[in-house]
Amino acid sequence: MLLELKNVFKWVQSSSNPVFLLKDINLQVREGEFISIMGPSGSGKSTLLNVIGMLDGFNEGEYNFMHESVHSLKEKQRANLYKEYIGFVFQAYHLLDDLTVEENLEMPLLYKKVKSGERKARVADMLDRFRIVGKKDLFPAQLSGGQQQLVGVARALIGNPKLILADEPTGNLNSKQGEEIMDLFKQLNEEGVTIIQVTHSEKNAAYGQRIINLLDGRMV
Amino acid sequence: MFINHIKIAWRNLLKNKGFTFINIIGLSIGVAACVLISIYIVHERSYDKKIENSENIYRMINRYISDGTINDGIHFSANTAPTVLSDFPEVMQSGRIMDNELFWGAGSNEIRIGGEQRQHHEERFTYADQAIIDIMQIPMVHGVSETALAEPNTVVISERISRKYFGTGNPIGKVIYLNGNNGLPFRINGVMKDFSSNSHMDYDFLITLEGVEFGEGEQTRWTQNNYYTYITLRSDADPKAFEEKMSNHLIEEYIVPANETAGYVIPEDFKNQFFIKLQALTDINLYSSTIDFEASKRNDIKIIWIFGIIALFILVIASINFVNLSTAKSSSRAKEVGVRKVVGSSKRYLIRQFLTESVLITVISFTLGTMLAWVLMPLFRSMSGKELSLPFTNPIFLISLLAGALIVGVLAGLYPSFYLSKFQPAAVLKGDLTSGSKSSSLRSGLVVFQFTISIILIIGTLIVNQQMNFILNSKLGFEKGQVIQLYGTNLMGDQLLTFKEELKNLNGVENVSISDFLPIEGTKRNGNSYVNEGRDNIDETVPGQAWVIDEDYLETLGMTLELGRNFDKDRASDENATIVNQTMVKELLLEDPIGKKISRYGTLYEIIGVVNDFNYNTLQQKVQPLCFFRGISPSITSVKVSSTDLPELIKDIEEKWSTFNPNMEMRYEFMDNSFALMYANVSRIKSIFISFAILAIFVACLGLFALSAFMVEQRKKEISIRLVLGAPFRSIYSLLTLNFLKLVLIAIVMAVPIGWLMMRKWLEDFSYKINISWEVFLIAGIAAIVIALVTISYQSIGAALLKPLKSLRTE
Repeated sequence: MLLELKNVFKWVQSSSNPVFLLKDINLQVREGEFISIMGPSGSGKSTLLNVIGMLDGFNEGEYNFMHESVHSLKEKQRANLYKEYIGFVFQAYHLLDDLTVEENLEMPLLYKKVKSGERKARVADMLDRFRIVGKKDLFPAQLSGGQQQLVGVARALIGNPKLILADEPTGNLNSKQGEEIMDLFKQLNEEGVTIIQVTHSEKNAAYGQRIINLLDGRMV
Repeated sequence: MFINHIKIAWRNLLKNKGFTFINIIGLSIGVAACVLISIYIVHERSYDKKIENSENIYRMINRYISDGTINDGIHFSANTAPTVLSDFPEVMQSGRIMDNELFWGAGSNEIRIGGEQRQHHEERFTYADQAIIDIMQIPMVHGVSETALAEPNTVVISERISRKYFGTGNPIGKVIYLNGNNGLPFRINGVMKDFSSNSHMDYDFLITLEGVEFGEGEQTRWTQNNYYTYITLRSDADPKAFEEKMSNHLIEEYIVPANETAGYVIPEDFKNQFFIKLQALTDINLYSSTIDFEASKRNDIKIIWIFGIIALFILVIASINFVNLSTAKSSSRAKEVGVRKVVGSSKRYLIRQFLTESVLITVISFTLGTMLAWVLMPLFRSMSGKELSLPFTNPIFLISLLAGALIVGVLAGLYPSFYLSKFQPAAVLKGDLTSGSKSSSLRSGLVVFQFTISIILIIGTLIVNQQMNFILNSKLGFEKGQVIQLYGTNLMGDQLLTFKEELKNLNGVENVSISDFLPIEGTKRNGNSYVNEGRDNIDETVPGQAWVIDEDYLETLGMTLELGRNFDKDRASDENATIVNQTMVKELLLEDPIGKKISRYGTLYEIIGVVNDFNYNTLQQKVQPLCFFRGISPSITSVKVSSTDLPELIKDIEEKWSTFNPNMEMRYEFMDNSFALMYANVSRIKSIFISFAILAIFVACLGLFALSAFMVEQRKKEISIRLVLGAPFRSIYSLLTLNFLKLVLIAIVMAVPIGWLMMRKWLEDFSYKINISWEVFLIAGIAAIVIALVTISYQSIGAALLKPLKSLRTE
């Protein structure tokens, strides 16, 4: 078992009544799964993903990640946990505009205090694997959307995460670019990486082995 | 990692060029101001510290406390120095300086080199003991330090004088003559290094005191005080204990008995009123402002403090700019913080990265600022009148610069980095960040703080300026305009009176008077005691000046007789007549002064006139009692002119001069110039103060300018919507401007009382001063508002003229 959510609730206090963002979420994810989360806007997809990624907290319930009880960890320990095991991919790529492709890839390794030689090797490896060696000295603004997301995925992968969380990874891409990214995910999954993605598209959701539907914060 | 920080920081600075530019320019100016002021302060504090064992060297001070006010003086009798040396084993050396112009040879003289004909004017003469050379460790270029002044009629000259008259040669053994006195050669027995600009002494000629006596019995008389006395104490002596012991001993054993013998009345409470103190040599430059006749020569620790505070203010203002701009534009960094956190950066890394950025900015600014200080140095040198330079070879200077850059960088960067690094990735990546407005109350506070300082500086500048103009233009009780002083006229001897008459006959000359006593500093002064007729040895004497003038003096200098008459050339009885000033009348408690007689050391003089209380010291001091006596005091001749063609008239006077003095160039000075020189120190401080105040305000405006730009940037969407909905230009403009104006108003409310208190304190030092009027605060307030408005308006107007569709489309 990679992670498990038990009776997770999340709400915000509005003027009188609490507004529920997540209601009684129960979810088990095994290693090697490829899960798609679907649902209409505002149904809590991104919130769920953020909770899983430990970028956001929750109000009630339990969350175990690789036998650690996330809900009882301090923020710093939580941060260490997700840094170690989770890679994020965003709809808007969120590459740093001031850094070249190569430097964007290198950044997570710097934070992990990976030695310079190994850093170079892993970055080169990743550039090679994604066939973007020729782009390594370009800045994000000089790339197409598909290429930027490619870098985004590469950056998520470079720390060897157990889990990749992707929030509408193809939302800003045209269909051909989107397909390429989804193929890439599939291939990664086959190599053993666990993937949870949020998507609007039935077609993309079909890449996953399991689909979770959300409505008003509740799994249906 | 560190390299990575630097690289990213550098790119970020390049990316936000405007922001970087304003930060760096503001900080550089602040640093330049700080460096200049620091160098000035270090210089002022370094006086006389180079002298070995300077901590054991002291100057003697006499302190007279009457009615709670302290009067410090530094003049002692000739025998004080030898007496303390012989009476106290703690004293290792004692030496005397006598530079009182009152005595022949001190002050300024006409000199002639032996074997030449021409007379030259030179200043900065003093009499000194050999021991002064020993105590002050004055190094010699030629001659032997230990014996340079050991023999009578010897003189030590400075290197610059030696170069001027003897070139590169060695002048030892050559002779000079003073003031045409050909019977008294002075042999040059040493050439000393010029006094450095951080020595409190500045003389070009040291004439030996060996074998000198100014009047019979002067060297052993305790009641005639003309000498500065310096002593070196043994390093194991306790200065405080010694001071008290010496004070009691000298007063009981010598001063009181001598005054009694001379027939003076010793006040009952004398022992609690009169003290002898020691002033550390290294304190002379900064702690002498309360000592008579010293104020205009020395600096003042208060000034040092004020300058230090201004320097700090400027740096703080520039740092505040940095904090404000960094947090204001935080929204543009939010995404970066989010991404970095998501890919694994800890808060610590982010803080370090932002700190690297701010330190990079400060390091660049300190480098540029130091360069700017270097460029401005010549200007600052002439402004301050000091020999200053940037000590690039001094490791302490370089280390302080580096440390300064790091400290300012970390301090200014700390808040923004903590603020930025706190962003939660889930929130900022979703894009619902409420664009940095959270800290706007802090920013507002800092802007208020900046403007409070700026307004205080404006108030300070206005009041300093008013007080200076008041001093330079106020009613002094004499007319300083259209008066030319001719110096060195004593060399004409018997012909002087003829010269005077001939000058009077020149076209454009209104009057001519001969007297060395003038109401400008640097001319003769003295001290005498007066008492009413028949009250000798009964009443306490009134100390006062005794000025020797001729019958044309009052008219030439435009003084007014309040009562009685002027001296009359043809009345022989006027030899024993005196004209007194109003203060003298008051001090002697005279009801109807004309015709009364007063005694000066037993000689009676009849008061024939009362002159108005004209100011003859700086306006920091109150007018003191004074008596005029008729006579000739021949070194300075004052000429009152009416001509509008001054150059022509001066040519005429020079022509006359050369028929009387073929061997000497005429040296003259306009009285208003000499008068301005009296206040040169105050004027300098004024100009330094004003320049740095303007700098501070400029830096504050720079910050406000950038801040308003960011505010406009952030509210672009809001403004566009308002414009689309039909908001007129005026409403957009006031929307953006009023917020800032509110802050400026708060700053005014805070600055006015602080500025008022500070400036009242500053004015306390002046006996004659302006009243602080409410107009000053009004003007300062309006100035602040106008400056702020102009600064902000550039942005607000731009925003109000925005094309709304453009910014809405890109949103």
